[in-house]
Amino acid sequence: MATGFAMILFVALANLVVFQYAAGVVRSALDTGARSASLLDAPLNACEIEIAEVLDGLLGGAMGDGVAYSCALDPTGQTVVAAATVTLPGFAPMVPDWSFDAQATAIKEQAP
Amino acid sequence: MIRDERGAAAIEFPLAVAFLLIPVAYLVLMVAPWSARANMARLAAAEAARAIVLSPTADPDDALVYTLVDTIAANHDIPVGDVDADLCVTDGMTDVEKAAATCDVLVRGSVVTVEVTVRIPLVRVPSIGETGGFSWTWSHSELVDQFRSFDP
Repeated sequence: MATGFAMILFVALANLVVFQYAAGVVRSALDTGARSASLLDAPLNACEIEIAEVLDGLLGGAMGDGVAYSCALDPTGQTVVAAATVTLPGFAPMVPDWSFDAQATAIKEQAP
Repeated sequence: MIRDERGAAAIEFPLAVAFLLIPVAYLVLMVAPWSARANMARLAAAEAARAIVLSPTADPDDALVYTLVDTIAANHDIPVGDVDADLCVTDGMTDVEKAAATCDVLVRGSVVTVEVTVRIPLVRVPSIGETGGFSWTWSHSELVDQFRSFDP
């Protein structure tokens, strides 16, 4: 029984490490997406395409399914803003899901 | 003589969890924010330098660049007070000179360098506090386009 409890606790702690990894992937994806749409001749949807590619490569499966993201230009048109709402499922029944919001910004290049 | 070991798990398990499993897991979790903060400094330096060289006028607005760095820090859930940006620094500058440096007039073909320093706490317990720590600085340089124009 003690071994069983230890395993559950170990899975819960490993889950925290995976959550940290997933949060890092989401931030990286948003940064990459915002940067890709900030180039002078890049359309806004380049941001979401880039985010999807990063997430497909680094955060597939059920964890990737919990990431909802969008990209927009700020009202001044000078900054690309990529935002995501993330819900990561817990591995074990006793581990709660983790939800957080993340955002990234990049300066939009302007024609001279 | 056969020793009776019944009940040993009730003592060993809490001890192993309290003094082995949780400390090791905490150490592993503690390293991740170090990397996250270092990455934030790298990104902030790159974006700040880029914002300067993309300034529509030859006299970039330093306040906007500082705001951008603060925004990136906030995006990474890092307190703004833990991040310090030095704009348009050059080789050989002292720390005092770097802190006072400003971006005056952009020259085509020149190089703009930004340094972002972030404080990384050594031990941080969520909702309780943090102690110790060290600073990590990332420098990023961007070239002002040779053929760009500036708004008057």
